[in-house]
Amino acid sequence: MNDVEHQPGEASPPAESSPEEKIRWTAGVPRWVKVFVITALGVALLIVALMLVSGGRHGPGRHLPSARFDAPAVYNARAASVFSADDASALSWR
Amino acid sequence: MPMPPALRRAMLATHIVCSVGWLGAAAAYLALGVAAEVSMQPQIVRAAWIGMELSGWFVIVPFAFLAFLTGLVMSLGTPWGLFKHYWVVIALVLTTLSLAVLLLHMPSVSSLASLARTADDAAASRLGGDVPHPALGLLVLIVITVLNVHKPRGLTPYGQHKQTKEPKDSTRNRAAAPR
Repeated sequence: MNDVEHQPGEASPPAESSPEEKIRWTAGVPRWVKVFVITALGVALLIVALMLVSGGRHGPGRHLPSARFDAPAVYNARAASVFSADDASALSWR
Repeated sequence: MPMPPALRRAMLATHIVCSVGWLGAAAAYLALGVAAEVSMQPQIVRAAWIGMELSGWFVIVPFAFLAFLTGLVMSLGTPWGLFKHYWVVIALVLTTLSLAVLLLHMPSVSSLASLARTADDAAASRLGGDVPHPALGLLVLIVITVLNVHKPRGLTPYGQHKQTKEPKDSTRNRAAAPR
């Protein structure tokens, strides 16, 4: 959502700014980016840990066609008459 | 490649509609996912999964695609650029990840919606819902929205390079940009 009311000039050092001001703008990675990346990595690690604790049946590979999780295949492999509640709970990601 | 002001405003309006629509549809999907998760009534579970499949494929996916594409066009068609500012790069990465997870997850939703349609009452009531995906997706979309509104400062090395290389051009662009 690039707002036309808010131009990049407001997010860049002004042309007439002092050398110190320009250094403050451009030197290194901003603190908010570091905090954001560290927080995002922490959340990602937490999610991975939770998935492993919950049985490790979830992950990006689960979404791939070759993954073990394939509800129609599992369902079609059994007749509807023998479809049990345990099968249903195994197919959910709880 | 700067866009004409009228086109930029039209593209911005489209981008906002699609982004907010994606966020709202994800919130509605979360409500259905929670309903299927907590309810033991097969009718509610079935209805929720069918609703999640329909809203996912026909509302969330189109909005997500359009939000992604219009965001790309807005970045490339304005002085913001795609890789000049950290907030744009982070928003791009988060949007791309969200879109990828959405597209990889939707076939599973369709599979479980098919199960919900055909399973008997006992199996349907135990099917469960879908809470983690929409909850996390909603959180990511809110973060992207805050980044887009706040636009925190910070130039990437590429942005710094471009700025020092073409200071006159960027100043001219800023002066010519409509407010």
